[in-house]
Amino acid sequence: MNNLISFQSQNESLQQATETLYVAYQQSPGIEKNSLANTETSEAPNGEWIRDYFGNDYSIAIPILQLFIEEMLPEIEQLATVLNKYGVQELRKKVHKINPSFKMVGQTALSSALTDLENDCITFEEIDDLHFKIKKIQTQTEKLKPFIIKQYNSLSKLAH
Amino acid sequence: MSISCIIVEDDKISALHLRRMIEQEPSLTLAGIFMNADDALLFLAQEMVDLIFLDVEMPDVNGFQLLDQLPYRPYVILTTAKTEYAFTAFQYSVTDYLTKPITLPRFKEAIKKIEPFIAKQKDNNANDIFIRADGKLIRLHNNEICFVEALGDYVKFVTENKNYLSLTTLKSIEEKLNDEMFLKVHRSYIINTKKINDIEDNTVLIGKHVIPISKAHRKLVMDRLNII
Repeated sequence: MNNLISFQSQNESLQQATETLYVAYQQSPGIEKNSLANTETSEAPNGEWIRDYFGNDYSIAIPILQLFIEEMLPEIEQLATVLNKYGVQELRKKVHKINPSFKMVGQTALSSALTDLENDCITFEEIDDLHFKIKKIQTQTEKLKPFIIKQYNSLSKLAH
Repeated sequence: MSISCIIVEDDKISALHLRRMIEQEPSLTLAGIFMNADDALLFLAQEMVDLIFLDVEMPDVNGFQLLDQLPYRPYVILTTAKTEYAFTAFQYSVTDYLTKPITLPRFKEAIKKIEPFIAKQKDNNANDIFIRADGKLIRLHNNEICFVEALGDYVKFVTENKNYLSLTTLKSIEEKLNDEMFLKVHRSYIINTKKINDIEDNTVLIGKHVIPISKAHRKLVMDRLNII
């Protein structure tokens, strides 16, 4: 019986977390919701990614989001520097390393863009193409940054 | 059943995510998280684990190079962002291959798949012990051991072919040996009763070794042995 109650309450919490994420998303400035809905449907904060990666315990997503904000977002800013300073192979390694984290926090469109960039590093032809893609990823990340921070804040509030 | 495992992963977020999933799985006990292969190898030279969650692409030493250097072979679940290592993974006989980011259902499926293998292995290993000697972990089957002798801070394992010195205590070894097969006959000796050739007065003969039976242990020895 206790297990059942705990399960129900977990599900309610998850639903609450999902709703909170949705509200946070709707209220987040700087994101063109329609364009996201069309081209980045997987970014829609329906909370499914929480269930996929963290099960019913959404609280696990909190330290992951925190690490993501503190460590992964700055990595995106460094991509052009890595390319200029260490070359294409190091850029590929860096992109390969950070890519799964983007999917893990629900940013699948950015993750796909990073996969494209990684593949371009393998079939490397023009350095300008790489810089162009990096710039595009950086712009997209900048747009989504407030939303990701809001996600983190909303989940943190909910946990307390 | 408790499955001891470690994470070898250079990405903090992936490591944290795996850690949280492992902590939720009652059958798993996390023995360590290592951000590079060298630290993991140092640990694995000293400690036994049942399972490694191993990233492939790491700086310096990659996951497959780590497997080449392992002193023993635990079960391995590869964690990687790419599927292109699948063929190499097959050659290394890894148990499962999880693509990052790992979803919870896929993680649970991998654990469910591996549990019976580890349970069977633990069952097979019930009569084995691992000792630290000659700078590595050596597996000794209970049947191989003739007797064990305390020598100061060390314990000597005498087998028919070779002796091993290990920095440990006789008490801790006594707890690990099969108590149906082994018997303490002296404060410094534990013998394998299957290896006894004969008993004379206060000594036991095992091969060419004469082992004393202490007064304190004599009655216990006589009670244990089938004396007509």
